[in-house]
Amino acid sequence: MTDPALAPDATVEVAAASKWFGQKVAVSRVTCSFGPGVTGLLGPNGAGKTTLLRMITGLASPSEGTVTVLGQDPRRHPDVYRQVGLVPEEDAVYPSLTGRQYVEYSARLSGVADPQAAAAASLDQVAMTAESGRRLEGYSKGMRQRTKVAAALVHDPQILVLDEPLNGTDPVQRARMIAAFHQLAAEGRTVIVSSHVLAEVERMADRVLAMVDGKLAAAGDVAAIRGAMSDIPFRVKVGVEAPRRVAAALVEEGHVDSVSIEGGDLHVATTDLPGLGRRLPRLARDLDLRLTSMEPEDESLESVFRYLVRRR
Amino acid sequence: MTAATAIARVSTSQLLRVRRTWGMLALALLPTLIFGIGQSGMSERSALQFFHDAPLATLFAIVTPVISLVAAAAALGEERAQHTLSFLTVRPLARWQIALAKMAAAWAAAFAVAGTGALVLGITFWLTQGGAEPLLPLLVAIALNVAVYAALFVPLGLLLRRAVLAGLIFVFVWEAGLSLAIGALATYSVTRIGLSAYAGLVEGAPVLLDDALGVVTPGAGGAAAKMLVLLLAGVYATSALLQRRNLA
Repeated sequence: MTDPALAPDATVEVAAASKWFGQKVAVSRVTCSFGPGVTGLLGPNGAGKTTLLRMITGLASPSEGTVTVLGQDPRRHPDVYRQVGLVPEEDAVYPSLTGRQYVEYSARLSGVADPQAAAAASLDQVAMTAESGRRLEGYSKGMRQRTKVAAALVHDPQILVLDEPLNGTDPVQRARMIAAFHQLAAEGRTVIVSSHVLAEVERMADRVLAMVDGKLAAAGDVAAIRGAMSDIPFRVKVGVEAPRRVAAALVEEGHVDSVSIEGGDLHVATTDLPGLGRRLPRLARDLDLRLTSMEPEDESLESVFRYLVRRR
Repeated sequence: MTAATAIARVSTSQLLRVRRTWGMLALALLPTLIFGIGQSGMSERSALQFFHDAPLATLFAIVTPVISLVAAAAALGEERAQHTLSFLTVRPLARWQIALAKMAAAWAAAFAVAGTGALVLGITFWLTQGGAEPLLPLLVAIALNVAVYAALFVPLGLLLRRAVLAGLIFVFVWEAGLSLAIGALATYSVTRIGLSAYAGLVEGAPVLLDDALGVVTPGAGGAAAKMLVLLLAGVYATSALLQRRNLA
């Protein structure tokens, strides 16, 4: 059986790559590859996603192992960057430039023959044409994100690396950007997108690599990742009146793994998240109590990933 | 426009932001102020000697290095602080091209300001003493000196977060201190590269600058050669830092 971490027709290959900064291990012996289509790099903050992306783009050298892009080490062969577009997690913009100047500058740095035309087309692709005459310092976070995407696309790269590209974007912008990523993938490009939000990755990517503590936790399509997660408990914070009564009722029903009450909130661990979502409103109604919220806990995702690493 | 030209052009305009430029210009005019106040009531001969003492020493040993330091340390230091290094480096460009473009930007920004200071000083001398001879040599010497400082401080800005502080220690302890106080060390002083170029281009200046030059032989050719060697070393060092450092 082929390793789900390895993509067919790979354009980016990571072989037993590790990266450490002093005593801190950021990435530990990761082997994976990326090919045409959208691949989501999923993991909680600090999982090593950004470091892996920086190794892929040559911004950091692996302490051990190798990373190749189109068969070459990008740190030794900068020509390979003609085929790479990067949207870093940080703002990475020049505040005094206008959006158009910024994208044109990007085009010139990548050796595009007609930077002005390429910038206009790229800004249009992310719906930033109307605002492109304004200075970047006056942009919202979402507008800066879209302009960064335009700058990364302006030289028509075969490989696009995006680190948390949806940060700060509103739902409409998000939908537009996700559609753009799908379009790029449909054109046969390799699109690598990192995120710490499972729902985001699910919408963007056909294939997912999950990371935690610098290690690869799981790989495969979204369904496979969800499947891998299905037999371990998810923690959910529930806002409800009289949490003790609800906790007792849930335990009596027997469909939860554990319950606890912390700071007036009910915390439930369950392997059947959709089931809990159905039962809780009904239970609240039966007990004549008001259910105000139901939120998955962030560390829950992290613990899921940790579990997957141990199992792998 | 090539990629390197684009980097140099955008970087120069970034380095010459309004507030910073006004601050540097105020410093650049300090030698003229010193000369304007000091020369009044002096004989022509005394004024000539005075011009080659305090104003030129201030221009070469303090004003030019500090202005060059501010511009050159920011050339790559600000890119790092703004997280825009990846914007420059994930490009089909050799690292030396980025380094050279940044040196050119640092030189252009610093020379625009320090050169203005030298120009105003030269014109003031011309108007008060009736001699235009120092004007062009001053500009040439400052241009050479700024290039050497750019070669030193551009890589420093990439290497250290507190590059300006480290540079100021270098300027005040070494350039304006030790190398002036101990004549034998003058050979290793950047300030003397500019002064020797100036002295080589102005008749009579070697005598007037005898104390300041110390053991350094006046001559524009020698100064230009030293500048070229240091510039190549600076480009090499910056390229190596861009290549080897983790730019994350």
